[in-house]
This record gives sequence, structure tokens and C-alpha cells, in this order.
Amino acid sequence: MIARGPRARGTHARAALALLAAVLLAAACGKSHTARGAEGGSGITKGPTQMAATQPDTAIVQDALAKELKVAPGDVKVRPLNVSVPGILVFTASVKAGRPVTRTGIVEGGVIYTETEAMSRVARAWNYGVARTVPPETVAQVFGALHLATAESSPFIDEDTVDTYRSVSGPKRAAAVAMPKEATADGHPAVVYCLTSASRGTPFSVITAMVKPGFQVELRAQPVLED
Amino acid sequence: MGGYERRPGGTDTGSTTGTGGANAGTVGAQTLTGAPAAPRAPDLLREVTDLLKGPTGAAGAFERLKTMEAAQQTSIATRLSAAQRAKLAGIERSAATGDAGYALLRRCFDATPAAEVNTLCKWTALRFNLTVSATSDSTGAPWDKRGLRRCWDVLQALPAAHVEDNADLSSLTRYRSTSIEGWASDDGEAAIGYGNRNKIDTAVETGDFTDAKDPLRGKNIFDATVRHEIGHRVDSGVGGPAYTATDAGGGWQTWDGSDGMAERIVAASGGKISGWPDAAEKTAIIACLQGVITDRVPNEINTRLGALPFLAGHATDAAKKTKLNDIKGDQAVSALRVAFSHQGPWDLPTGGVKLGDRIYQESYDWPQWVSYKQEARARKFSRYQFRAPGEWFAEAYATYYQPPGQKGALMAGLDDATKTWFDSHVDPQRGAGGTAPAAPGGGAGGGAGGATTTPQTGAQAQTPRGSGAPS
Repeated sequence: MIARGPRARGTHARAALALLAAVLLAAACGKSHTARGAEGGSGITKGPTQMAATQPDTAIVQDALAKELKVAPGDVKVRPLNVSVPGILVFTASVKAGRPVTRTGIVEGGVIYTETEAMSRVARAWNYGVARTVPPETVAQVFGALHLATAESSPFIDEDTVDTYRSVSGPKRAAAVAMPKEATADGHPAVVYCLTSASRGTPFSVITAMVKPGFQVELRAQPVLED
Repeated sequence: MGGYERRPGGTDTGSTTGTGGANAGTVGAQTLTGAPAAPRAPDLLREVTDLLKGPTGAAGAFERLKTMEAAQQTSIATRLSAAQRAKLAGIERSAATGDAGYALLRRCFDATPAAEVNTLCKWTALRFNLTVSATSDSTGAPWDKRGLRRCWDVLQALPAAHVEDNADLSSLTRYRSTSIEGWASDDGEAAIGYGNRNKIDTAVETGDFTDAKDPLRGKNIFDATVRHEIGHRVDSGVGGPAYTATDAGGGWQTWDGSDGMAERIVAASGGKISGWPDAAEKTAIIACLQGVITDRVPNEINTRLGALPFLAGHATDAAKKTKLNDIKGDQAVSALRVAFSHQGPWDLPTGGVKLGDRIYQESYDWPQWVSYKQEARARKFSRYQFRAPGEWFAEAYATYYQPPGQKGALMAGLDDATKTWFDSHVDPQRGAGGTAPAAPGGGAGGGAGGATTTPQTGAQAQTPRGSGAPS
């Protein structure tokens, strides 16, 4: 029998979901965690237990998701993102545990982080901010992949894909879709990029990712609906 | 009736006193003046509580309650203690079936305070023959009364064959979510996600799933989600996969896994790659595209194509540059750029890049690949319907049973063939009856305490259509 997929619905409150996913993953890792304020997004911090540090990063993800979903670690497929971030694995993990489940995040120092907490750690690893140490396409590629902890998202980082999307989408999205670009928002260095997602709570959106002092990443999402 | 008789015009137990005094319930008692007293109202609450404590236990108490008027049932269920309600909810399901049993279950549910979540789950489980709980994984969240009540209203409007008598549906679970959503698994679980901040009684679909003219636009999201997930568990049993494979059902083709997809897509395109003159180069191109598919990296298409050995030096070699452009200009490549599940191609007004008369896309990331006839989108009920054949059926199911009005009314004129197929293959009553509230019969349905009067937007309050039994 073919498993039927999830029907993600409604408005997605990112911060709360990030916190949830972070707590789940932290608990599954056997790590302590501190729930940060909802505005802070993800809530995992390094805990006192460092046993995971001896594991390969992909195995850490497998174990965490396996415990969360009560499946064998081998049932968890981990896909590293093909981008270089010093000391960090950016991943997408999926499992079909009677239903499809997806998680995204990073592993740093043996601990999993998600969403804006993960983005902030990537920005720190890149020393990204006023110093634009990587191209906007690379920022979009990583931040876009980390946009939702529980669903895959896909940034537009290729001109041909932008052109193709423009040709098959409605007028509003065709007008909005564009390549990533550097910007300044509220006085902070930012990258503006477009993104799609498997989550219905996140339709095609234009994202402004600000990197604030201390590498704190804050997102502003502008969904683009055709009607 | 277990030896109990219905008592027409029975006592308003709401006016009886406590557990009764010395003469409570003694019919024909004398007054102090010696004049015959009016018959005392029997203490029905005490009767029920005594039965709960007695040898027949919850079954006896429930059977006694069934003989009472609706108002009496509600009054007693309200006045029981939490422990007594929990005990009463421990009856075997066989004792709670039928119109009278279902109506009493609903009154018990309505009379149960929101804090008694386990008891509320038990009432719901009894009514619909399901395990009602949090999901078993760590996202599980306890149900609350508002969510269960809303599920109840939706489920009781569906055929019994799809819910309580459905062997492919075993549990109704809840998980923690900040949005109203759901999933169904092939082990019989229908899971509903929502959070405390979600206004499940008033939240309507405003565009996340639908275009403005789609039938499911403006309908209650929670209700449609519940129907959708039940639809997943109905699909196989009614021949959904066979119907969705027909042109009327979208002409869906499904591949569990991604092996061979590049070859299929190239062939469907019929473009320059398909007719590539050099066999070795053609093989390399298809292998490259298959790598993109397997690794799920549409953003790497250009990079990987540019790295093909026979295109080395294309930046300066005009002939090789032409070859690369020919490959990139093939519609197969264009289709792949927007075909992955994380890109939500079903959300596009076109569905993506058409190859022949079909759209090819990755529907799920485990992965599953599908193709369908693009022209079928002209008959869509929602955009989400075109994610996968299972979603096609589930959205059709949610549309067919969307109240108020006749079943399938929202399909008529838009997709008549599918309405007819639902009438004859999915609905056990073959389209007879409607989704508007039915008049309660014999105290069943509707009932005390506004059992089905939950305010709704875009969806009318529902009562069972008859017994809900399959025809």
C-alpha cells in the first residue's frame, strides 16, 4: 500500500515550529536544551553530554530522527547540502515511517540546530555580515534549505530556473521571482531571495534574511499569492 | 433494553434533589399530615450511579441511560463525577451502537468537561470505533474537546463504511502543530495537527491550497482536513488507485523511487536529447540528469551538465557551447528545474513544464515520482489535488462530502465524471441523501446541549445521515 502524504495546511508560525523541532531533536539526541524565546527561533543549545561528538554528523541526525519517530536509524536518509560551511553539516533528512517525514538543520559540535538558530551559526562560521564573505547565492542556498525544520524548501539560485519558473507561474510570482541579491534592511546586512517549499504554510515567498550583530539571523517573509 | 423501560415524559432530573433523602424515590409516600403525597420523582442519578457500582457496571448504567429522555441523559451525564463519567465511558463498544447509543454517546461527550480529556477520547473512540489518542511519535499532543467535537461533527456525516466500519482506518490521533494540517499512514492512522491558537471553528481556506474558483476555497480548513485524511484511508478500499489511473481521474502514473525517471522524462519530452545522435553522449546526458534526480538537486543541473566530459571546454569551444545549449534547451531539462517536491510544482497554475500531454513531478521526497495529464487540472477541486494520485482522491473525497447540500454538489458541472464515479463507487448510499443536517430521529442525532451546533463557517453543522450504514 502506498502511504499517503501529509497535508500541511494553514499559516505556519515559524518560530514555534522551530522550537518544537529543536526540542524534539535535542531530546532525541540525549542533549539538554534551553528553549529560547519564540522570537529566537530554534532552541537547542549545546548540552553537557558530548557523546555525540564522536559520531559522524550524519549518524547523529539518523539517531535523532530515528528516536523521534521510533524507527531504525537505517531508515533515515540523510542528504548533506553540497555547500562548504566550516565545522558544520547542513542536512536534509527524510524517512518514510508509514508516512513521509522530513527534517532540516545543521550539526555543529555534535548538536543539531534548526531554522534561524542554525542560520546564525552558519553566518558565524562564515563570518558573514558587513563582510560579505560568500556570494548571495550561497547564503540563499543554505538559509533557504534551513527555512523550515520540518519541510524541505528550495531557494532560487540559478538563472535558468528563475526563467523556467517565470514561464510556468502566475503573473505575480513571475514578476517577483529573481536571483538572490545583497541588500540592507533596517541598517543590517541582508540577502533577499525567493523560495518555494513543500509546506503549504510556506508558499512562494520573497525572503529577506538580515544578519544582525552577533550573527543573529532574522527573517522577513513576503508570501506571493496569485489571488 | 436490558429490562429497563423507556419512561415517556420522564422526570426532569435537573430538579431532583441530590442523592435523595430517606424517602427519596418511594412512590406513594405519605405526608406528615397523612394526606397522600404526589408521586416522588425517581432519583435517576442515583439509579445510574448505583448501577455503575453494581455488577452490571458501566454497561448497565449506559443501558439505563439509553431509556431516558435526552434532557435526562444530559442532566445525569453532567452531574456524574469525573470518575463516574470515566467509568461509564469504559463500556464495550457493542453496547453503544445504533442510533440511540450514538445519540447518548454524543450527549455524554457534550456533558463531559473539557478537562476530562481521556474520557472525551473514550466517547469519541466508542462512537467511531477508533483508537483516539496522541500520535505515537514524539510530536504527539493530547486532544482537546473543541478538536474532538469538530472531528465528531465531520465523521458522523461520513458513511459508516468509511469510518467505524472501515478496516483501513484504525486510529484518530493528534499531533502538535502551529497550523491546521494532517497526515494519514498506511497502518490506518489519520492524524490531525493543530495548535491552541488555531481557530478551528472559523478558519477557512483562503488560498494555501486553492485558487479562487476552486470548490474547496472558503471552506472550513479543519473539517476539510479531517475529511481529506479519512479519504486517504478510504482510497484503496474503493478502487481509488484504479480510477486515478484513468484519464477521468487524471491519468496518474506512479513510481516509488526515482530509478529510470530521467530516461522517462527525456522520452516524454521528445526533444533534442531524445534524438541525440551520439549514443555515448546521450547516455552520459541521461545519466547526468538521473544524478540530479537521485540527489534531488535541481539547482545543480547547469553545473553538472557543464561538467560532462564531452562538453569540457564549452566556455571557449563554440561547438560544445551549442551542444550544451541544445541540452539545456530540451523541455526535459526545463521540466526538471521545477519538478521537485520542495518546489511545490502542483501549486503552479500550469503544474510545471508539460512534456507531451503530461506533467512529471516528484510528489514526495522519499522519493515518489508521478506523472499526470495536465488537462485534468481544468477540473481541479484544489491545487493540492495535483500533488499525487492519493492527494487527488483525498481532495475529491473532501469535496464530495463537503456540506451543505447534496453529496457531490460541488463537483457537479466541474467534474461530472468523478461525481458519477463517487456516487457509484465511493459512496455506499450511491449518492442518495445529502450533507445537510438530518432531522434527529428517536432522539438520535442533534440532541441535547447543542450536540451539533458548533459554530461553523463555510460548513454547516452536521448530523448523521440516517444510520450511516452502508447500503
